[in-house]
Amino acid sequence: MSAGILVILSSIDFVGRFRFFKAEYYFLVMMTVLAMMFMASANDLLSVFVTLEFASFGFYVLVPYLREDLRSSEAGLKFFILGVFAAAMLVFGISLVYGETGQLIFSEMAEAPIDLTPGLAVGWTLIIAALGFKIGAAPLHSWIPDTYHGAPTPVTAFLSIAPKGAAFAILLRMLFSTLPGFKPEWVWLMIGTAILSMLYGNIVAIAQRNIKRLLAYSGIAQIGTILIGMAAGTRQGADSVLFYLLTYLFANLGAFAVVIAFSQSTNSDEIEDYSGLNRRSPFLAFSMLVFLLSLAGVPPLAGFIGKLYVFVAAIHEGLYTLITVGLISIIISMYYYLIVVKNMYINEPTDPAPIFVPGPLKAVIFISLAGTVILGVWPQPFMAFAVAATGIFSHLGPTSLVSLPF
Amino acid sequence: MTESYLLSMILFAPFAGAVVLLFISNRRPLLVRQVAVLFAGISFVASFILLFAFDWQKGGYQFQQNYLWSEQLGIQFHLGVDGIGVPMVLASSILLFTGVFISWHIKDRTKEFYAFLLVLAGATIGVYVSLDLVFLYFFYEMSVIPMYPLLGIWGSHTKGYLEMTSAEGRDLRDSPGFIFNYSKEYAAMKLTLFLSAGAVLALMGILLIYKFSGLQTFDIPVLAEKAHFDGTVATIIWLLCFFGFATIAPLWPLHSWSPVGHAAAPAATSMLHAGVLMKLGHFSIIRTDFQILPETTNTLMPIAAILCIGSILYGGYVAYYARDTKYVIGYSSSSHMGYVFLGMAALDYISLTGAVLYMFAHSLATGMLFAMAGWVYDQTHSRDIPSLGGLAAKMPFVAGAFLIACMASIGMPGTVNFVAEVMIVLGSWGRYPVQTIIAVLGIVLTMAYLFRMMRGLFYGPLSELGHHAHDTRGWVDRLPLAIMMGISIIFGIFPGQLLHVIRSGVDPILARIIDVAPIATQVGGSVLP
Repeated sequence: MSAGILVILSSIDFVGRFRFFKAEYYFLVMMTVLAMMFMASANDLLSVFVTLEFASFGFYVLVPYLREDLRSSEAGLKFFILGVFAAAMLVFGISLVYGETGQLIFSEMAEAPIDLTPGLAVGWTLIIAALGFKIGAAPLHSWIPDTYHGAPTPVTAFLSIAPKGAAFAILLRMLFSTLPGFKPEWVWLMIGTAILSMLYGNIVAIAQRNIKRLLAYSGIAQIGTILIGMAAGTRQGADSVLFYLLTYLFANLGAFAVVIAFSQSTNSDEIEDYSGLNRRSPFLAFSMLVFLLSLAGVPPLAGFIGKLYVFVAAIHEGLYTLITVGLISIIISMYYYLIVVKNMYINEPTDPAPIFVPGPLKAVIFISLAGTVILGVWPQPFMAFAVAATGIFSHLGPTSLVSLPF
Repeated sequence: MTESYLLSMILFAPFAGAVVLLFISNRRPLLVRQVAVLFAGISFVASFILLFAFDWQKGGYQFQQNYLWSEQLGIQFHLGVDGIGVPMVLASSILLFTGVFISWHIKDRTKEFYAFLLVLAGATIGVYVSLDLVFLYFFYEMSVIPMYPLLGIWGSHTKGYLEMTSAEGRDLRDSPGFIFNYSKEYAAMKLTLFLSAGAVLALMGILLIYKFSGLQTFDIPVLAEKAHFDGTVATIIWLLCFFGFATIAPLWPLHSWSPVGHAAAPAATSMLHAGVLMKLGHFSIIRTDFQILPETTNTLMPIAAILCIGSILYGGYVAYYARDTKYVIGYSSSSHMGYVFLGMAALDYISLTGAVLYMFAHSLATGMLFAMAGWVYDQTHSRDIPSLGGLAAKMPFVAGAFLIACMASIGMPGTVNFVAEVMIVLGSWGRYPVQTIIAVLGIVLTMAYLFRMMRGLFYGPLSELGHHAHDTRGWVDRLPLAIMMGISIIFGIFPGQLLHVIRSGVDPILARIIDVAPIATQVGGSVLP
């Protein structure tokens, strides 16, 4: 399911690499992509662990790739320690679950009806927490800002999308087809994390002065919005999660591509330095405007449809509080996105030199622009794709899907 | 068959124009303007055709186009106009077309300006022609966003803002004590956030309509026909939609973004903002609350009748004391929007028709006033009434046009505003006599502040600031004013077609509201609810 998304992602992302890295870099990126495709199609707990570590391994090397840069090394260390911690949680959780059920394969677990013993509850909670670490949901987000800030920007772009997509694929499969019986329990986990992520991500993002940190916090908030779809816990919820991931992919990737292009010629990621970008490079400023507005959820861009889809899925389940928080967070997020827009469009540039955008980056930006606009204006085929994707996914656990509360 | 594409043409011409503009270099400003005129002109001409092609005897929704947009969510791209949509579409395209000429002299980033302006106008037209709740919201939110760059880039600070820098820096300037002294960035942000907040309230209402109707559709005609809500749910939905959309209307006490935004905006944006953007609120309330929740409207609409007193009196009072020309006009339009709410609240055939006609009339009158306030500002670089004066000698055409615009705004017989005002007053008298008396007082107040502004700007000794000012030159500057004056007067004398069209839209809506639970609309009903 997510493999489709990931293939698109990897190809775009590959073009996005530019020439100042060595050959190993490409190898690591490709390896991570491969790992993540495995991860997305993992079908038992053991392979979840193996593929997750496989994917993280690549990132452990990629994040501190700029050896001479202190920040990059710091980011790498932080990411590594917290990542290993999450892996430990995952293993512990898996062992508890195995101890209680004696099974590791998702579909078999779904078939055997079991009561929720304390050991099982702790085990599953730990597994979900480890995946929550991967997607960077609120109480487990602490690695995100520093890692995003320090890592080389292309890696950040990669890190901000691909592992989240893969982790959501696992979460969907686990929660929707293996644990539908425990929905009343895990739904509270989802609701809690969603509210925390949206509020925390958005409110802290207001104070950010660095564009990468801003995107990091806004990413936490976006994950919160996706979790609304997870909390809905229905087939439509699953579709909306996938669709939202797709919209998030284009907008976020595009925004990071602009950041890369900008920092290549100015060596800066400070929002203040974006002043007058509209005069320096109308193309970059316009693209950034589109991507940020899409992230904020403004029609006619992709983000709006994604949010609407998630909200519609949630309203069917009567999750009014979640939707209210989601709507409030739209307003908050609009504020800090507009601050960036203000810098780009309203302020005058301090250095009027035009900015050169290299070819491959331009291609990435164009593809993201096209994706953001087309998904917003004509979403039907993509929604059908998301539905088809969850259709495939239902074959993985055909028996369990019957018990899903539609 | 070609007729059925008329709405798409009106709607998509501005967007197409904006896209074409993206590919034109900023070094060719004349070409940019010509393209903008061309695409705005298509909408302009097509919406006149729409007015006269609309069959008012048949009524109902006409020129419908319906495409499935999203199967999963039950969204349809459903276009269509009824008698209420037609005049508003016409007003939007008139203001867009004239606005393009009004901003002819903008030199900084011309291309971007016109692109945003076209998107803004196109999105407002979109609201007036959509018959699907999601698209109503879609275009509504889309029309709010271009306001941010339009105000921020091409807007202006309030007079005195820049002189307020103290030795300590910006503290003094940003302190709340200096009311009416705002930077354009502040105004832009306030406007965008306020309107988006209103929009999400309404979106919550729309989602609840979707959930509780149980019909899996956002289609307005279908919902109006089949959906039924009762009890608390209906009240909550009604309140969410009402206050969500009343934010943009702007109903007192949710109005505070509006004058600030008016003052900061460039002339053409103020025109569209006051002329059509604000009416999105009333229009959307009619579409959601009036059409989908008729019973609740009957019981809750007195809320509007009470709040509109605040709008009329407070707006008029502040307008009288404001020194800044654009604040005067800005507060006057929030005051005038109170009349529309009064006309709507009375739930009477005559007053609601009057309210819709007033929306149309007000957009022309305020459009003219803002256009000329913008011209005066361009010439003198001041909007401070006491420091201006005697401009009639320098710009006789503008002074004359300004007088006519004031007349129209007050509602002199001969302008379309008169017809509308009389209808609102007549229609509301039966149900809300107190409010009607206040509304009439409001007209007197309007006269007071507009003539005060008129005298301050154009008569008396010529001020220093006006020495280098000159009148409008050539047809480019005069055409838009002439168009707006002409339309205002022609429809003032011959309101026939327009009234018939509006009436055909108002009748079925009100019939449902009144028939569901008959109320006392006769004289002698309660004074206040």
